[in-house]
Amino acid sequence: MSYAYLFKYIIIGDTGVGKSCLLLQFTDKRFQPVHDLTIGVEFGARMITIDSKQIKLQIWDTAGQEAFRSITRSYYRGAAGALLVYDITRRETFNHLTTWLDDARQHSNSNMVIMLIGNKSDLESRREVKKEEGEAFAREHGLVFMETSAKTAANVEEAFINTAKEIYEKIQEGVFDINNEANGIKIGPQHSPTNPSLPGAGGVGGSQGSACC
Amino acid sequence: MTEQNSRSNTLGEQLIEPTNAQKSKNILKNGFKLNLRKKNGYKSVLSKSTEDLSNENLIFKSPVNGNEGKGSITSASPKETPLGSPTGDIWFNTWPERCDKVKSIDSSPEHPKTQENNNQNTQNGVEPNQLSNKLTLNEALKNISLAYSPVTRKLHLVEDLKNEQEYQHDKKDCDNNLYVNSSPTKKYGHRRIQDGSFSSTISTISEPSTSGSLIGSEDRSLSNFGDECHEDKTRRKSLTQFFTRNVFSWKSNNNPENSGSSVWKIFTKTPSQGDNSPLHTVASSSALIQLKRPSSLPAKTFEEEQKHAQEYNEILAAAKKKEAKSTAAKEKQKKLQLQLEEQQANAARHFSQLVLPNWTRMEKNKKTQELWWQGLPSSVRGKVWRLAIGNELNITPQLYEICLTRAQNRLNSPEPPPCEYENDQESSMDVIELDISRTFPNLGIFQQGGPYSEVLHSLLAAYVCFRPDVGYLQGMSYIAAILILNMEACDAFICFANLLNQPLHLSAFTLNQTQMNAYYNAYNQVLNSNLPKLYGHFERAGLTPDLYLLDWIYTIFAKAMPLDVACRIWDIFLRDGYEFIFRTALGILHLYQSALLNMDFLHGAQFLTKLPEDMSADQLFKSIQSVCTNVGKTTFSQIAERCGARQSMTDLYR
Repeated sequence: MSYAYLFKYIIIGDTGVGKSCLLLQFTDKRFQPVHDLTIGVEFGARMITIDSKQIKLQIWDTAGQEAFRSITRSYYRGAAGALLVYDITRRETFNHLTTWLDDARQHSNSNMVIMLIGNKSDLESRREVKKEEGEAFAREHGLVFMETSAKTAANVEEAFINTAKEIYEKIQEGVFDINNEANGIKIGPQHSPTNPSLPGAGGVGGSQGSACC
Repeated sequence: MTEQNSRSNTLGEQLIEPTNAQKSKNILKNGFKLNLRKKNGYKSVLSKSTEDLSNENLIFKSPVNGNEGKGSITSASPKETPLGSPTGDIWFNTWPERCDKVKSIDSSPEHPKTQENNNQNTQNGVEPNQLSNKLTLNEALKNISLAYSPVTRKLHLVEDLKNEQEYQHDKKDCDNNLYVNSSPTKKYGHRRIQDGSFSSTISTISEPSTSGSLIGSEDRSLSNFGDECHEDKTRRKSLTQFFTRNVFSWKSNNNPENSGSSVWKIFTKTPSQGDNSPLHTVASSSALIQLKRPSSLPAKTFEEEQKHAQEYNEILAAAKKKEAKSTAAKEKQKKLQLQLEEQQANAARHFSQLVLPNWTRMEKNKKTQELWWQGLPSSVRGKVWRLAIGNELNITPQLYEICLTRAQNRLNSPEPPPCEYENDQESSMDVIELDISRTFPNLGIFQQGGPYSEVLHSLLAAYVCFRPDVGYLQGMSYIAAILILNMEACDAFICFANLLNQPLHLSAFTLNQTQMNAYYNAYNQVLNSNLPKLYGHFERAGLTPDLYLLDWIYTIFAKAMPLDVACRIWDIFLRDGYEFIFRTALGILHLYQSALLNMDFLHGAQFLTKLPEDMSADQLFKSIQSVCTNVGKTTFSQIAERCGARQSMTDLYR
């Protein structure tokens, strides 16, 4: 399938916060109450449309156990976006956010867009972290924030797509050098600079994304 | 009768031959019949999940010695039922407990006894119904066929019904790799007691009975009804056996004579029995064409009649031909199945009689090695694994107990104790709980409330106490689970600890990245020498081995493959050592090479981190045979060493 851009995402956060479930909801539109453990890394992909351009998201879903961080660090390389997930029903997963953020900032490129996600918003009765706390944390660290539920699919779509929009805007502003793949952005095959019909970045929208899916 | 029992054992509960049919019919009827009426007391003993089942349908009409309808319903007096008897309670709590009980019913003593009782009673002129009056609750419960389903996580009442409108109902759950061997001749399954109380995950595999067969339909038509009754019983028995013997066969057989006979069905895929097309209805409705037209319409001409008769015959012939073909195919399949089971039985005999008693002498024996490659029979698998892994660490059951107690104290204490060592990973114990239910989630037995959830939890917690420097790491739960599925908890712990003490897994679970990189590099070299084209493709795509090898190494393929295939990989991994993990990896790539060559990074990575669910063990093993972890005369270990991997334990601890 053709696409204008490919963005690499990485999903990080403590074990059991619902990273794999978020991914499954986003890619397959379904929820698995008991998901397999993730060992190492798993992959997901989906095509989205922004500004009438086809954008392919390549998502790396990582293992959450703290001990594995030495391994997951290597996955940050080349990521354009990161979803940093905590579980609103387990305070400790919120408390660990700073270390995750330090890790992410240290091992990724500085332009990486980070979206903070408080997952399991459907479990209101078991909530341990207030929404305001999440918002405050995001404001303080310059992140985008959203509460989601992988179970009800609330905000899941938005979380992934808004991140992509931010990345896309950064491309438009020329912040991302799209020719450097280390930034986690690839130009789609038919959009490569050798093809003069379409400009790489900052192109005028409305090219109707040459081939539809 | 014993012949019957042993026969159905050998053949895995199916294929009860017509000559035995009547016999088995009696056995089964006697074995399961029961007069019991629901009373409050009775209800209270049953656990909640069965409570909703215990409605009117629990009243069984009891046919007396096969004479249906004679028995009258007598209520079991509540006073005579020992309420809340301790065994009754335990009985429903855990699955294995339940299994053992049913096992004892199934594996012979129960049936003959019940029949004996009946005979006695009839001789004494006592109405057989009164016998059931005196049934204690335990006996009564014993006679109810209950089976724990890992799918619904409920106890299911497997009921014997005289009711005409029986529902076809059986279970086969592909997700779980749980397969019930269903005889193609079985028509009636278990009726739901109460529709709502059964989960819909139980799907129906009951197939149209061959009683609809066109071949010899004349002979069969009369016996059909009787057959159906018998089939019903057979099926019920088969389900009970499935839960009792097949799932944990390694537990049931101490007798080497029998050990070969029971096949571990949970890991054994049953080739699906060919579908029976509803020929019967086709043939019979097409016969309408031969009928005369109603008088209101003009009568058929002679030619027309002739034509219709001919058409009918053609349809019939085609149908017969088709059926003959499918019967032949089925016969062939049956034969193959029998052959397979025969082989399994022979292999089991070889291992239990020759290898296990003389392990050191027979381990390297040529025939042993050959049979081993073909897959260890499930009945001896755990024992062979235990011997193959050994116990270099000299862990005693006492030590396991000590670790277990320590772990329990640690888990029960609200405040985590202060770290005793600098490198203490004991805090990782808290993560275990989250992961238990995420281990083999489809199997259902490790999930909260599942029968093996506690076992797995305590084994892992005990390990953290045994090796606080290593602690718990994700992936371990899969290794422990595979061991628990094949042996008792204590043995599983000993194997687990020794297994994780080998250089590759110690490096993996201590996150020794330099070591792991050395292994990955060595693997890459071997990949290049075996599959240069794919190696080049992966290099260009940026698909590095760590992305997919990590999961395969950490869980030893338990997560990546269907359970039956994974167990076969484990067989050889424990025979040949860690190199076999890399060889299997190459085998997988070799098997799917052509597909992988057409995939980009993303698809390749997705494919390898989520292998096809229909992977066949035979194909994979063929593929593994065609790859080799040596490059020239250099072994994998030597290559790894050159890449910087240290094989000696003292080096690893430095």
